[in-house]
Amino acid sequence: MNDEPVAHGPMRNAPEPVPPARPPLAELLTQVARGDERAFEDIYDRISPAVYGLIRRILRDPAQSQEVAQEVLVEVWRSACRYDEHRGSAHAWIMTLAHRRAVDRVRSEQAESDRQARAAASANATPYDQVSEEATSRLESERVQRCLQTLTELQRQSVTLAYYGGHTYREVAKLLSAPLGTVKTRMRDGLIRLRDCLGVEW
Amino acid sequence: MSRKLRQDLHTLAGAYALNALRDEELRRFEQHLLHCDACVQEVRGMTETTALLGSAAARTPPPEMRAAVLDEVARTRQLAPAPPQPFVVTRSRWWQRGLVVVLAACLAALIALGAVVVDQRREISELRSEEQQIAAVMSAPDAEYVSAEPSEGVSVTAVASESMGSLVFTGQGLSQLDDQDYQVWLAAPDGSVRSAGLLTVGADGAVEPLLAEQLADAQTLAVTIEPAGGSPQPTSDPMMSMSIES
Repeated sequence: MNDEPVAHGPMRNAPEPVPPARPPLAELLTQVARGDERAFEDIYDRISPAVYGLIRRILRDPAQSQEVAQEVLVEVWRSACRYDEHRGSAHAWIMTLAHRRAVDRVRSEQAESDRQARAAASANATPYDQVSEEATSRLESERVQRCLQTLTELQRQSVTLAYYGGHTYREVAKLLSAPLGTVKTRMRDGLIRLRDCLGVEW
Repeated sequence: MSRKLRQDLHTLAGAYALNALRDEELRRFEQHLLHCDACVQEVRGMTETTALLGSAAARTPPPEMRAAVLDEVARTRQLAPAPPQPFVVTRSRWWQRGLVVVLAACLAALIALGAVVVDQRREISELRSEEQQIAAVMSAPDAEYVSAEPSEGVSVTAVASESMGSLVFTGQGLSQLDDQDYQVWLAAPDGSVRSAGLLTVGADGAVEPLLAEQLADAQTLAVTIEPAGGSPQPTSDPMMSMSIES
């Protein structure tokens, strides 16, 4: 059965009114899992600012951030077939990968050689400081900022020091001079509050 | 004591979702996740949340990064799809080894799992139960519901009442077997395992509610596929199992 309204009058010659909706990330990932490089390009265009931005926020150094972001994005290509949509969104899968890689880097290094490499790399790196201009991502980011403001000071600091700072919760407790148990709990109830504020449903 | 420990572990969900656990604690929490459906659920919501924190930090990557990534992608071989996940790792005498579970649910921590449970609850109550006992377990004031999906399209629900020492097991989406039966087992911590009966599966995949009484110290419920008529002891590895200790 055709449910579409019958076009009449000027409607008949109207151009395609709605551009096709962007396919969900999970769908693209399924195509990528089958070796579709075009779909991967779409994923790249969609997710690389988030991946790069998060890694940059954690590592700070532009050259190193780029290196890790590239690794992560290639990893998305490589292991796309391991993504299981029953376990969470494609977006979360990719961002978790990005966060882990960045934090691994922070935790594994601090070695002299790495620091030197970093210093050398940042010397000739071009600064790319402009925030992604895509309107949707700006709105999204404002929404997250607003929700972060609804947290208590300790919740907010616990969450952001761990997530953006790449610190373990034990390190966070030290940084905040707060008991371990408190930090642990604040991370949990902070995230719960954030989740509810953002309307995350899983 | 062990309950205290578990609760303690549970509060690590936030730190886990923030990737703020290391080494031993990380290992212990992941171990805990294997046995706690409610925690898995909570971690999921938190991970979706932290992902939003992540994209809130978005910024335009250096333009040359695109070509570099696409170039490497063109040269990078993809992983083969993971083999279809077995329900449970193959091992004999699984019930004595504390089980490697793919699916586990903690009745103790019982947290409403949301719509799934509500749906299941309604579905269960719509099933015509021949035995009043089944109805009694399901309507017991201390009845606890746990639902899980051991694989796509298959859902199972256990309803346990501690005061009655009984449990009702049901599910849907199971395929009917030829010359074989689904058999339900209850395993105790001492390694003993006993049959709780065979499942009756309708042509539509719905499982008739099965009543297991005298739970006593049963710790784990598991389902295996056995020769028609069932076996005195399990002869194959469980296709699913859930923790039912309270």
